[in-house]
Amino acid sequence: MSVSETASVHAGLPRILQVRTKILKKNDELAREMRAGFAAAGVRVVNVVSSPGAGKTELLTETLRQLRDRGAAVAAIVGDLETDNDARRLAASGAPVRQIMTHGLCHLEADMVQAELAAWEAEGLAVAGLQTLLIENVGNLVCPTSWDLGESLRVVLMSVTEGEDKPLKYPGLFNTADLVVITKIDLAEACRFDRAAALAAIEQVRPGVSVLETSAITGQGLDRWLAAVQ
Amino acid sequence: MVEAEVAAAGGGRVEAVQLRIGQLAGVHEAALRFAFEQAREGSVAEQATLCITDLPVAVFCPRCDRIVELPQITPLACPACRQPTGDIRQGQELELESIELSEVGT
Ligand SMILES: Nc1nc2c(ncn2[C@@H]2O[C@H](COP(=O)(O)OP(=O)(O)OP(=O)(O)O)[C@@H](O)[C@H]2O)c(=O)[nH]1
Ligand SMILES: [Mg+2]
Ligand SMILES: [Zn+2]
Repeated sequence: MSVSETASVHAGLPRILQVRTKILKKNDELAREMRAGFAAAGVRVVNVVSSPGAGKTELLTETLRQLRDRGAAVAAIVGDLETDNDARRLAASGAPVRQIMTHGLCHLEADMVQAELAAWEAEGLAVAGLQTLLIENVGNLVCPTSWDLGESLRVVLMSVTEGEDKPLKYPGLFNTADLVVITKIDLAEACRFDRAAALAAIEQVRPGVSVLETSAITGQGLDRWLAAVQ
Repeated sequence: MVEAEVAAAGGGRVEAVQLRIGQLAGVHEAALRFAFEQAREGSVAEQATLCITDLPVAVFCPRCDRIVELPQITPLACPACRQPTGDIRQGQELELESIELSEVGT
């Protein structure tokens, strides 16, 4: 750690170490390195964040399936507190998938992703040969905010069933989104989804961000989504 | 992290740890305080107080051509002219600002 400390020592007085260091500096530095590596290899890395149950696994499974059909080399990493259920669902697409079980940690960190990539390499999967790597983060709208994974695209999902004002309740996270996806749009009518209110809420916390609408069940909106992650 | 800084400065007992946390950093102050109490046990910071400076969000307003502090986190728009802006200049910090040491055994 490079410390720019000005330790002022006064006789009898407590010393104050001026540190002014980013607490997540290590993660930031590793993520920056990984991002440069991904960019050099031409791997698009998508970090998908949402509240629990917003539809990450469903959307990503369909994404892996359709991108594979188009002949793209794709893979996914999924983080969950417990169980490898999501990894099994994602793997049904036929794509390589690795599960990170965080055992209580509520978000993924860059070194966890790095370790999974190393394990893949050891198994003979050339990460640099991938076109798209999808990362399903732990379902949480707070803690993933500050943890950069080296992604080239951070996507925040919100489903039509969880309320139009989600962005206003979690502005920090929504503010880091490169793309917002409104999921389960097939249920919009049933839950009286107010599109204008949702778009206004997103605009308040992340002015100018692109917003897509998808349904992993009917396939609505998937073409634009696939174009964004490919 | 605090331990490494203290060791680098030649040791001592930590009296206080000063953090700067932006309102958009994705950190809950109560949760952080709780975690700090757990983490400091048996460390050089066992007796330390945690001081947190809460940094409000400030954005650059292209219309007013200046940095303005927001009275609340949302909307991310200039409070003077209502222009929406995502150009955040303050409020995402998560920083260890300073460590206060008392001389012990030196
Ligand atoms: N109608 C409808 N249901 C969906 C859609 N996407 C997901 N679901 C359902 O919503 C539930 C949760 O979906 P998941 O994909 O598991 O959500 P998740 O975000 O991965 O959840 P966690 O990993 O637990 O945070 C499941 O019952 C899905 O079948 C959709 O587009 N339309
Ligand atoms: Mg899931
Ligand atoms: Zn203004």
